[in-house]
Amino acid sequence: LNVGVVVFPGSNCDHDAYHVVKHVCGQEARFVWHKDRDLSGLDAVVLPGGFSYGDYLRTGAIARFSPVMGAVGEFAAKGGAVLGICNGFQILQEAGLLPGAMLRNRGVKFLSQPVHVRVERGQTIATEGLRAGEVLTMPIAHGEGNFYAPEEELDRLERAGQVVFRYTTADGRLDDAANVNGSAHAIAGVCNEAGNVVGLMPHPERAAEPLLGSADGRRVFEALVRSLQSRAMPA
Amino acid sequence: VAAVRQGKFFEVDLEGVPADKARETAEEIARRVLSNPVIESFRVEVEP
Repeated sequence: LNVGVVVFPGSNCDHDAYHVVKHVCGQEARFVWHKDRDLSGLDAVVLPGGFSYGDYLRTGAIARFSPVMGAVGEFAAKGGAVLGICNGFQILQEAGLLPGAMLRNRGVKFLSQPVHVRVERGQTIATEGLRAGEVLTMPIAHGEGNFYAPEEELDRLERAGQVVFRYTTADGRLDDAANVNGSAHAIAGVCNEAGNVVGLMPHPERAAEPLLGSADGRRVFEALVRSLQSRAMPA
Repeated sequence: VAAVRQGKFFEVDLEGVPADKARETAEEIARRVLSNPVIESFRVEVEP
């Protein structure tokens, strides 16, 4: 399988994502410069974390106009697997490929710490083969991760099963203190209606080897690989 | 103080554009780039 990792000016988790795909999961990986429009030959596209264009206006607000995003939109529309991590998630929201938007963290401060997230739904490109209810430990590192959507949109997301990850305690209980950034419905990750575009705020690529304190993130990338192996990809 | 919310203020200079066209342009910029409709609203004021 061949996974493209998009590089925006200000991406800083691109090499981590590339490393996990290539050296931990043993798949092919290549970087895709944000000015490229060619995603041919790719089975999946990862939008990595970082601070694209400095995030000065709003997180992801400028990156979504990068030339590559038109191609990412077409790739997603054809059913291609797109995984947005942290800033990549924010970019997908700005691009309208994922619902909601991020407000400043509830406590205003940038948060860099491990969190526990509960898998709410298997059978997405990031959770294929994982069971709903499983808890993964991965780090977050963001100032704007406070998921917001209007109440009726939240209801719609819940009914459609588009909530993929939720902040919980280590044993998978919802708890206000565990929802560190104050996200609506403790949402840490969502998918589009088809489940082929997933965004999450925690960093699986920073927790994919035991040496890094948790290898749970590897399971997200392995889920991506499994989902690609089990589905027909767009031509 | 019950709540505080901060926002952004942009001054955009347009040259040689009539006021109605300036408003239209500014509103398009605000809608497409400067604001995110999910979390923000905007108001445009045109000064000659």
